[in-house]
Formats: sequence, C-alpha cells, structure tokens
Amino acid sequence: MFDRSQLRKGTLEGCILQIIARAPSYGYAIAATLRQSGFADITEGTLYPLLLRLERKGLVAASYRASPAGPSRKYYALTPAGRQTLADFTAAWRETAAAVQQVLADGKEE
Amino acid sequence: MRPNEYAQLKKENDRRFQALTGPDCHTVEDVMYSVRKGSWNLYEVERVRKDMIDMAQAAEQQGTTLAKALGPDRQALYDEIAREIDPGSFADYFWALSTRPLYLLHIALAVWGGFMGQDGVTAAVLALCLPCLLLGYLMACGQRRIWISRWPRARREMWIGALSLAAATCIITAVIWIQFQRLPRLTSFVIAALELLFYIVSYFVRRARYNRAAARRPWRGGGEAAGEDTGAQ
Repeated sequence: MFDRSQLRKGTLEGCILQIIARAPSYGYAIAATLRQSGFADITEGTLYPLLLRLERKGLVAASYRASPAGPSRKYYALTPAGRQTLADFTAAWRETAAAVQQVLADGKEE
Repeated sequence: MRPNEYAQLKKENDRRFQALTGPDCHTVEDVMYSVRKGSWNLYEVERVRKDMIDMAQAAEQQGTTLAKALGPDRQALYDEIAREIDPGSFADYFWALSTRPLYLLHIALAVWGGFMGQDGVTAAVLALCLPCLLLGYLMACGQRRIWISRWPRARREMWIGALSLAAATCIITAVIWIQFQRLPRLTSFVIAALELLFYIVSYFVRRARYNRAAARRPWRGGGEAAGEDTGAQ
C-alpha cells in the first residue's frame, strides 16, 4: 500500500511557509488551514515539531502574543531566509508536479 | 542588570504547571522527559515546556486534554520534538555542570570535610567526582543518539567535547592531588571556596548566555492581543 506520510513530509514544510507568508499565524490556526485544504489528519501537536524545525533553521521567527481567549499564542512569521526557501519550494514543486503529471498522463495513454 | 530570563521563564512555567489538571501534568512531564534528552540548552527546553503548558491550558479550556491535542502516536511525536529542538552546544553543557546535584553535593562534602578535619576525604571525593562528571557527560552523549543521526555536526562536537573534558578531568584531578600533597593550605574550605567561585561564575555565564538566547527567541508575550478565533496555540 502507498505510504502517503512520506509524500506529505516533504511538502508540508512548504505549505506551512506559504500559510505563514500570507500573514503571521499560530499553530492551531495553521493546522486548521491545512485541514481545510485537505490535510485531514493534521493536528496542532503533529505540526509542533515541524514548526520547531523551521524556527531552528531560521526560516520562521516566533513571538508570543497575548490572546483574549486564554494563554498567549505563539505567532510564526516568515524570515527573509524563509521567503527564499518558499520561493525555491514553489518552483521545485511546480516542476515536480508537472513532471509527475506528465508521467501519469503518459501511463494512461498506453 | 537585566533580569534572569531563564529563571523567570522557569518560575512562570512552574507556577502555570501547578494549575494544570493531573492528566495534563503527566503528559507535559512525558514530553519533557524526551525533550530533555534532546538538548543541553536549558532555556530552549523551558521554552518547549511553556509551549506544552500553553497547549494544555488551551485544550482544557476547550474541555479536552493535551494528550488528545497531541494525537494518538505520542511517543513518536515526543521523539520528533526532541530531534527538532535546538540541541545546544558543549558550552551549554559545561556551564550547566554546576547545576547538577553531584556538584552541590561535593561543595557540601568539602565544607563537611573542613569542619571534621577530613581534608584527605575531600580530596578523594573530589578526585572521584570529576570522573563522575565525565561519566555524566558520556551518558548525556548517549541520550543524544536520537538526534545525532539527524544532525551530523553534533557527532564532531560531541567527540571534541568528550576528549577535552577527559583531558581536563585527568589534568585537574592530577593537579588537585599533587597540590594537596604539597600545599597544606589547600584545605577542604579552599576547595569549597573554589567550587563556590566556579558555581557563581557559571551562574553569571549561564545567565548571560540565556539572556542572549531570550533576546533572539523571546518567551514573553509582548504583542497585541489576537482575536481571530478562539483556538488553541
């Protein structure tokens, strides 16, 4: 059976960067956006190590803001390095997606 | 002088941790058990603890638990967090040595040796303690195996650290032992004073390092309130 988690691992970081690029956001909201986009089983918890990694790599910067609903929220914003990585990811993804699409289309024609 | 950011963060975390429900306390402790194996940087460890407490509080407000918010495969998640946290450096380990119970125990033993007139006992204990610190370091290296495979630079740093500490252990132990035979003035009280001096120096070095880390990656909520929805973190 095809292991979707491996496919997802490589693409999720780029998707998170894209969501944060629109506006600084926090874990729960990022997870909700991803779920709405079709990543059905994403939770705030599963996202946390990825956000730690992005922060450690300097692609996102985190800051805490007060929340009217309870404890403070950790907001993530894109850094210049993150913006560059997102541009690289977007180009690489389009190229790969087009190539995969082509291969799959060729397979159907045969 | 700037406040000790690490101490304040830890105090704040301890206070908020007390307010969590029993199951969430257990979950936070489980996460931190794994996370502490992944980093020698106490500030970063405490920052993850703050995130977990924030998540737990938000989950409790929604009538659920942190365990549910973290998902079903929690042990794998904990290991992943341990791999992704900033691992810290050998300097972080070195300057945190004086926080270890063994170090404080030795100061107490040295003072006891001084009062009891047992300077020889103090020297012997000191000679034993330093290899124990080395052993502690090697054990910490073992705990880091999880993320060493993911971060090859750590392997090089680990060996440099292990070799330098081994050399320092041998030299310091030998010097103390020789000086102890030669200098009657090197009493238990002097050793205790020297160790206390190292304790104070390492406190201020740690404080400066963690304050710099806090300036780069702050833990305080300084921004405006956000009210897009009532979600968690």
